[in-house]
Amino acid sequence: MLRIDQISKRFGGVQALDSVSFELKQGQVLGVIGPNGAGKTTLFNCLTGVFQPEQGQVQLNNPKRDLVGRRAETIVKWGISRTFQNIRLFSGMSVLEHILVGGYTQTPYGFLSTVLRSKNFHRQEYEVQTQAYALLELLGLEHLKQQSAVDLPFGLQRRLEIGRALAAQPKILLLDEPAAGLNPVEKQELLQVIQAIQKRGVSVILIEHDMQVVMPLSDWVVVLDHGRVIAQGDAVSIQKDPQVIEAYLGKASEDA
Amino acid sequence: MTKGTVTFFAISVAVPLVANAYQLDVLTSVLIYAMLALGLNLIVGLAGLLHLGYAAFFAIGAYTYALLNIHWGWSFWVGWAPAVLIAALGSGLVGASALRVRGDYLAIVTLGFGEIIRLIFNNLDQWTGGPNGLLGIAHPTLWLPQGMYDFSVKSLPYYYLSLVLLGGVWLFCHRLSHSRLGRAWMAMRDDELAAACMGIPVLKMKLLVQICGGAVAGLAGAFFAAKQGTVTPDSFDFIQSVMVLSMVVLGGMGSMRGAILGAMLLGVLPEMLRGADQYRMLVFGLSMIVMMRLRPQGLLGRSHKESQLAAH
Repeated sequence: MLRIDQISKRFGGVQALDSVSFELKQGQVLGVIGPNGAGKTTLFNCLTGVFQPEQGQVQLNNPKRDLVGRRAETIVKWGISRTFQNIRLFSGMSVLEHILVGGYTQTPYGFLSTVLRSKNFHRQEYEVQTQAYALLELLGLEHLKQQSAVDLPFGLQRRLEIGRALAAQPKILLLDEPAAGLNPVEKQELLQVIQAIQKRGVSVILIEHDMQVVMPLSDWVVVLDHGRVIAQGDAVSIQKDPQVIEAYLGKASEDA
Repeated sequence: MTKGTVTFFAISVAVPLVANAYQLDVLTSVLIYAMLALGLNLIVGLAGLLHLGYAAFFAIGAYTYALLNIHWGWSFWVGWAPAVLIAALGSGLVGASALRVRGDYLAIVTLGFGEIIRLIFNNLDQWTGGPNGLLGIAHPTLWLPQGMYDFSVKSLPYYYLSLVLLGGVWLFCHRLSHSRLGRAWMAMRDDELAAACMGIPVLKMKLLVQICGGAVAGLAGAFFAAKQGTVTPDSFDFIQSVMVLSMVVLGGMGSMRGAILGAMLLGVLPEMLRGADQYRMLVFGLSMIVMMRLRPQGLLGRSHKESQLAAH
């Protein structure tokens, strides 16, 4: 479904990504783990058009599309949407409005339709509102719809970000550390939300530090360290991989 | 249409029953300000682009209509349309050249363009009459069954005409803000990157909002020229841009009702203080300071709580 082939990205002297390759299959949850500064978020930025990789290819299948060199707004249209590691909600907008903004690509009516309130306008607005209410219900946010998004508790802000990304009806959803800062109860709820998303046929790439979140969810795990893929495989084999253990815990001292 | 809007327009329609000609004249200029404030509110309030040269598009509208009327005899009923188009185009061009600057830098660039456009009108003597401006713009006339009705220098017809135009501008802005476009503008105002990652073409949307705002200023300008019968460059100076911006800020950025309230307060206040001429600007400035201290989001604005978001 999504093939990442040898992509590299450099910031000055730092090789943030170094020939990273992996593949996401239809309906999979793919976990990306690695220590801080391993290049995980840079990877997301390269996939979503925020940064452009210097080398390599990112290909989407069905229909076949090349993502490198494309703008962020084009990539969303093609079915990849994302959340952010540091929550980026719109400070002046309500919960419902966030979800409606997420549906921007689902409402292609133009300027004249807007000003003249054409049939197209009414139909698409109706659809996007209906979708928004369904999503709010899925995420358990419907009773908060008129609230300002910044007034929500942290856990619900993260959930709203996921809802906003889902409103774009992505085929692939990129979640950047969705469990960071959540308490254990909220983490359990997040697991259920992600599973529900997967059931809808959306493939997920998940950046996460919390192994209790990544491991049960992921069909495939990619481990990054210093911009390189040091291992990839299913959750069980990754947990036993000596290189992964070394990257996280350090090497056992020889003369100990 | 909400109850508030209907009440506002109903009261406005009834006002001439109790107001004299001078008061109606003041109110007509308030309604022009209200149009400008609604238009600028799209750019500054909704899309978050700090624009300091808005009066320039007001000028372009006024001069376009004035020239069409003087040289080709276009009446107001057709002349407003090219005025709107050319002002929109001008605003779009300024916007396009400043597409990649934001915040304070955008404010400086738009301020510069605003002054340049005014100076062009001031110095193109052979076409615009230079500092003396254009004189002898015909007043609008209406075909009525009893014969031709000339607006001439009466107050009442201009008042009602400006009210109708304000209604149109209100509808235009209301429809824009309650749509995917309005939501997209608010989103990019609050977080450009997140907006782009939701599929919003940020640069295109910035251009579009300036075109829409320019169009509104063009309409107000055409009306202004038709009412005054003359246009001079000094009606469109930097102070005008700041005045309209103050109305938007006072009313509450992003709030259409706020923009109109701001226009009413700042439009009428200087007239009421005319007796105390020397203290006018003092009271004006003081009231702005008090407002900023007590209600920084404006009288009818939604509060922004960016600090809470940034805390995480």
